Amino acid sequence: MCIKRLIQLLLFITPFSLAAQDTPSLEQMWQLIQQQQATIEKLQAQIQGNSQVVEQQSQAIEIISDNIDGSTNQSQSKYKFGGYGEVHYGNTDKGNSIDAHRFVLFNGYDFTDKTRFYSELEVEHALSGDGLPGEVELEQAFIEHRVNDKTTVTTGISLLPIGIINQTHEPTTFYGVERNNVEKNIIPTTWWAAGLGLSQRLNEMFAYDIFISEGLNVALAGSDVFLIRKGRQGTAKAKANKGAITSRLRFSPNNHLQINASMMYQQDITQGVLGVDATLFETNVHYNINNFSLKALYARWGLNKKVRAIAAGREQQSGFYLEPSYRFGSNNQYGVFSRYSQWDNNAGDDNNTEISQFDFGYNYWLTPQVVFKADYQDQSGAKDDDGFHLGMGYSF
Amino acid sequence: MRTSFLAWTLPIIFFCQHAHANDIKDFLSKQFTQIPKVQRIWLDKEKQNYIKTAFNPSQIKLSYRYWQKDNKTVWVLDEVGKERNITTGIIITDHTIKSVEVIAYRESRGGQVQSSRFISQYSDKTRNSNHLAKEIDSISGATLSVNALNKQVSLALYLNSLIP
Repeated sequence: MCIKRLIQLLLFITPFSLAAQDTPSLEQMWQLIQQQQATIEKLQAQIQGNSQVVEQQSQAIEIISDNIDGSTNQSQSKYKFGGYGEVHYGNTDKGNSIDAHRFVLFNGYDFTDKTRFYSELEVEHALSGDGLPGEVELEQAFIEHRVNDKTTVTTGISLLPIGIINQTHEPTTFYGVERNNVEKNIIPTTWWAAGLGLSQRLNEMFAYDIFISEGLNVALAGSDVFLIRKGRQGTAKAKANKGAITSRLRFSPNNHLQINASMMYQQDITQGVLGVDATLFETNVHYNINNFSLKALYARWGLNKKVRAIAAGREQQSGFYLEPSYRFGSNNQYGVFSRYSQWDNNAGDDNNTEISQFDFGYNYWLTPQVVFKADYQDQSGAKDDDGFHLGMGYSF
Repeated sequence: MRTSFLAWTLPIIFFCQHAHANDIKDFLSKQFTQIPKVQRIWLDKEKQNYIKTAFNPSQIKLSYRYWQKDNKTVWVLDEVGKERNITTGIIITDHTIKSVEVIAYRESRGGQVQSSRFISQYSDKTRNSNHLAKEIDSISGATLSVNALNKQVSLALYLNSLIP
C-alpha cells in the first residue's frame, strides 16, 4: 500500500520536474500570448472578409440566376407574338374540298404594364386577290388601357362582345370543324368594328361591356338584301354616317354557370339611305360540371318595319343552338359533342325558310393547343347539305 | 351629335388617371407581421426535368424564392395565361394549401380567376390531390388563366416538398 502511494507521487512529480527545465519565463509567455492574440485577430478578420465575399458571391449567383431566368422568360418581352390556324377537309352534298381556312398571326406590344397594342391579321382560304377565294383581313388592331384590376378601355378595331365564339374563336376552344351556323349567319361572327370599348367587372358575379362602333351597311337589293352578314363593313373605308352601340351583361352565379346577354342597337343599317334601325338581342348560357358541358345560344335581329316593303322575310333573322359535350381521358384530351341548331335569315314572313342542322363529332387534343376534329352534319329544312368534316387546328 | 360624342370620351380620360398597383411586398406584409428573409430552392437538372414533365410551366427557373416563418411558407410564382404573366401568391402550411391570391393579373381576358369564389377551390389541396385540373371547376372564357393557376398551385406544392 505504502509503495503504491510512493509510485503515484513519483509519477505525479516527475513530468513537472522534467518540464521545469524548459519552462519559459513569464515574459516569454506574455510574448507568446501576444503573438497568438495577433494571429487570432488576423484570422478573425480573414474569416469576416471571407464571409463577406461568400455573401457577395451568393448574391452575385442569385443576380446571375435571376438574369438567366429573366432572359429565358419570353412573357417579359414587350413584343407579343402568337397565332392560330385551321385546315379543313369537307365531304358534303355541296362537294369535297380541302381548305386552309384560316391562318392568323397575333402581334402585340406592351407600351407599359397597363397600356398595350394588340392585333390579329388573318389570311382566309390561303389565296387572296382578284378571282381568288381568300381574303386578308385585319380583324383586330386596338390600344387597350387597363385602368385598374377591374376596368379596361379599348380603342381601335375590336371583336364585338356578342355570342360565344365571336371573341374567343381559336379552333382549340370549340367543337366542330366549322364554326356553328347560328353564330355565323345570325350574329354574324366573326364580326369586328372600329370603336370605343369599356369592360368592367363589378363583383364576383357581374361584369359588363359597352362598345360604340361603326354600323352596318347592308345591300338594298339582290339576294343579299338586308342580310346582316353581308352588311358588315370590316372597317374598310366604312361608311360612318350612322353608328352602333353594343352592351353585354355577364352573369356568373357560381363556378359552374355563365350567362351572358347582349343587346346591339344599329342607328341605321343603310347608313342614311332608308333610315332602317335594327336591334340584335343575343343570350348564351354555358353550364359546366365535372366533365360535362352544355352551351346554348339564342340570337334574334329585329329590323325596322320599312324593310317589309322591300324584303319582308328579312325583318326578322333569328336562330338558336344547344350543344352538350363531354370530355374524358387521363388529361381530358378527348371530347365528344352533339349540337342541334336552327336558324332563319328570312323569319319575318310566313314562308318556310328555316334550316335545322344536327351535328355530332369529337375533338382530340394532342396537346391543349393542338386539336384534331371530326364531325358529321345532317341538315334539313330550306337547305339539305349533309356530310362530314375533318380538321386540324392549333393556337399559341 | 358631335358634342355628345366628345362627351363620351371624357369618362375615359377620367378613368385613365385612377390607376393603382398591387405588388408583392404588399402581399407579403399581409401574410407576415414581419416579412422573414427571403430564401431559395435551387433546382438541379433532374428536378427541372421533373417539373417540365409534371407541370409543363411556361418557364422553369434555376431557383425559386420563398418566405418562411414557423410552419407557414409563401411562394410567389409567375405563369403565363395566354401571353402575359399572372403573378400569384401561394400560402402553404404543413404541405397543405392554406390560401391562394392573384397578386398581379395582366391578361386582357380571364380576370374571373381573381375572384375568391374561384380561388377558394384550392384550399386544403395537397400534393396527393389527383390531377388538379380535374378537381378544379374551370371558368368558361377563362380556361387559359385557370390552367395557369392550376400549374402554379401544383408547382408550389412540389417546391414546398423540396424545402430541407
